[in-house]
Amino acid sequence: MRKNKRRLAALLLYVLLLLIAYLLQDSVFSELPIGGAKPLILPVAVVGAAMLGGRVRGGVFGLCAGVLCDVALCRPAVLFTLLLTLAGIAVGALFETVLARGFLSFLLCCAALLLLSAFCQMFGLLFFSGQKLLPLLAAAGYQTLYSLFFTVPVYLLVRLAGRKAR
Amino acid sequence: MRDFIRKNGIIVVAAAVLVAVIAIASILLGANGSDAAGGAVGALMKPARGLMSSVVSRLETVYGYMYRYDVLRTENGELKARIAELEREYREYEEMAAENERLKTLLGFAEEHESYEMTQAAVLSHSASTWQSAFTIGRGASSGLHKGDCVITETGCVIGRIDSVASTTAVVTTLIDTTSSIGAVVFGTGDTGVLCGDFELMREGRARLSYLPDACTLTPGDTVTTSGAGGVFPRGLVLGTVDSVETSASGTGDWAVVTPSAELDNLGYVYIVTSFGEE
Repeated sequence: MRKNKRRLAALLLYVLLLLIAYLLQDSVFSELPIGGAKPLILPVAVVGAAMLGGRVRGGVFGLCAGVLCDVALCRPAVLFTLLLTLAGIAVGALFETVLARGFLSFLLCCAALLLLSAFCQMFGLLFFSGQKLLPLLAAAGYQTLYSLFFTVPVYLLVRLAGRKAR
Repeated sequence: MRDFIRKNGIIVVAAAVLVAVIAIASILLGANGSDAAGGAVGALMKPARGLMSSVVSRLETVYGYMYRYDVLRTENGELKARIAELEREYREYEEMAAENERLKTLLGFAEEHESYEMTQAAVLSHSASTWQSAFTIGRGASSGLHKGDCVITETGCVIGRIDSVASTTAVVTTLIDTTSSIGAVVFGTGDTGVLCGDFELMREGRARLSYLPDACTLTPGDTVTTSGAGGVFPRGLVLGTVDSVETSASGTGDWAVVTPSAELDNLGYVYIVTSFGEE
């Protein structure tokens, strides 16, 4: 009974984290670009969920976050659904085996995922649209740095959720 | 006191006599209907009366304020509510006036282009992506919108085209997006080209006019309109103005930087041309 309650509380916290991240990314910070870049908050939330719940929960959270991210970003259609699902599983596995659950490892995982996301997003523009590399790299840098600001609140939220779930 | 009387006795007595004389004279003259002495006394007493009147008035105000405090407080609350109501009405009025102005402009545009069928839509949100220039509107397939439909402002300036349609919403990519490509003609010179999205310029809110003829004569400030080539956009809609003319790095041709006439970051409502005929 107590275990079920804990599971329900954890599920609610995951849903809350997902919704907050989605709403902030899609509705609030999409109107507040810095240097022409808008932040990606859902990938940061995926790393947080994977750190807290491991590869299975991380994968499921990544799938849901990926679908929402694709809806928010309009195109390409399934990029983030695939990327964030795989990232959720991989980051969850890393935290289960190799990485310690601290802010530094969380920050490094976020930075890696955000850079990978930016590269995937600029891939088509670089290789198929013939856009110049330098402006694309600048946009990728701005986007990654802007998104990294959200690692602190997400980490604090995940740590709080971890304590509640115990 | 004694010293004072001893020193100033004569002056005091003279003053007393003077006052008595004035008083008697004023009584006597008052009986004859003249008020000269009263006027003099009144003039002398005026500042003191004014001061007293002011003090009394102030005391009355304070007294009234204390006595009517509850009444005033209720009245103040009612007035505040009334002000809030009037402010709300004023905001509504301003919105309606702006809407009216927009519709009047659109009516003028629609009268000029009778063959256009247009639908109005509100802008719901801008894309959360760094890599594209797009926004979502609150109309979709149920309102007769199709992928590729032209999207304009009420004044007929091109905003972009519909990229994807759901039943009640649609995504519009703007003319500065990297996927955008519109046949264009420079008004006045007649030079033709293609207005394309360029990522570097997109971040500055501008686009690139490419494929210009070798002997093009366009200059900064020239207006660029749609050429109608391809049939997606009607002919003669305003795209923007030329900012600068550049020569490509290889020196093979010119291209121009164009600033859209539509304010892409400040759109409340847009108009979708669902069909248009040749004019």
